[in-house]
Amino acid sequence: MLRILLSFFVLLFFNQNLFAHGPSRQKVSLKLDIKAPASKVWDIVSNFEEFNWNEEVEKSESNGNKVGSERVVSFKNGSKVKQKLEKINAEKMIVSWRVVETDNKALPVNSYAAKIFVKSIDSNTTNITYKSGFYRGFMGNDPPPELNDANSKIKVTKFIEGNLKGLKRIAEGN
Amino acid sequence: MLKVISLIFLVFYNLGSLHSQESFSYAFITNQESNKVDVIDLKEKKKIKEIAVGEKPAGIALDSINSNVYISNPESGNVTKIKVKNFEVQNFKSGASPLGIFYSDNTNSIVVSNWYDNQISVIKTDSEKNTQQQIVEVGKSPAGIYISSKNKEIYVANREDNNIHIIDSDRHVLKKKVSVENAPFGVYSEKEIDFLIVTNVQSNSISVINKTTHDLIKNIKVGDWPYQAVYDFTKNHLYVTNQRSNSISIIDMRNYKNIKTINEICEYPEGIDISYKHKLIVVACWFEDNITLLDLESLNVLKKIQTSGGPRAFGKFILEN
Repeated sequence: MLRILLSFFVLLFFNQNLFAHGPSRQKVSLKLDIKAPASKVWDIVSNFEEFNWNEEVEKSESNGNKVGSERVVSFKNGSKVKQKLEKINAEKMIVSWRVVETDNKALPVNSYAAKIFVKSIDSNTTNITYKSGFYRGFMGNDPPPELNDANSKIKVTKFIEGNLKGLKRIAEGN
Repeated sequence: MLKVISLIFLVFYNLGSLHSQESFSYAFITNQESNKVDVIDLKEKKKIKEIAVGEKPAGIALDSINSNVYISNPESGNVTKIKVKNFEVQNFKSGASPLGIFYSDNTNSIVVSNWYDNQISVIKTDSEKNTQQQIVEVGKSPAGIYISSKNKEIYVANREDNNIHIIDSDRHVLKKKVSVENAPFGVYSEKEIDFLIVTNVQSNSISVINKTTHDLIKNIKVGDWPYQAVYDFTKNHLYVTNQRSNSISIIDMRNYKNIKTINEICEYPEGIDISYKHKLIVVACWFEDNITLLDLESLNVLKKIQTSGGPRAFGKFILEN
């Protein structure tokens, strides 16, 4: 019995790893204005070590704050997502993160990468553009409903909305 | 006398061209989010039509002799034929998840790679029913395809096997496997050139393969996540789109050197092709939802044309006469 179960899991594991991703990529792009100076917002956005924006996130542990650094974001529901700091451009105020490992309960994605653009509108207004590109959570053909294109997109949108809301709260707070 | 003959010839020549189809120069752009193919008129530099096709259209194949365009629809498991003359569409079945697609003019068939099936389908297009289908096993996650009618060979990139399968296009048997770098996706060549280009997405490189000897000539570093390539016959340069660096790498094909990078083209540049008639480089910008036109000579961005959503344009996509 154990062997059958084991081979089932092995099979499942292989199926998950057989394909890097499906053939159709998706995007989510959201914008938000924050009542705070761009320099202040950029300080928060560019600090990879401290990710306490999203209220669903319990903690974030990082091994550094430079390109290539990784952090594990633990959600309140127990899910963990590992991200990598891919690019950072202080002059243009653009940061890029990539998901290295994910939990489909939190973020059902593959090959997920996001970019955050910080743009000064006036001395106390900053515009944030948060863009992500990804493939759905299920890598094979005929995905289960919770891991199909539509649901993966809903989960990503919710995650980014939560991040933006938290960023606004922190940046506008005193 | 000679004058008279050449005059007659000229008159007939012009009459002939009047009777033939009107001159056109179109870019056919697959849009994965809108499930449409956008037609861009490159003379007017504007979008003239949106054509509803199957689900999540990705690949494009051109039949320039009969003026037809073929589209692969990975999520609906079919291929759409578009007649350029009147933009009429006709769908026919392929394997599950067709992605790469190429038209073979000497067999009058299209070949598609079926991503999930690890197979390619050869589909005859000369019959009205388009029902005949022949299956050939290939490697894991087949993507880009090119067919050489001269060499009678099909070249397929197997993304998860890090190799290229070279298949006899008459007998449908594997002739050779050529190892490349990580995650080969796009495959590009032309009738007039000896080399085949493969984009290796995860190695940030391209592989140059000799189509006749099947030798791997060189792996060349480019930008992040290269997608597709096109060769500029006027400069002997190869242009490669780099999805994650928002750039185009320029390779001098006389010495295989990466000589220059054009930065900040757009976000996620993907499909790329050239219009020699209007001296344009045409790039599909997936994240920006537009088509970016560059001047072929100066390489400056001339115009951005909005698309219906999520342009990929995987394969050569410009048809002009």
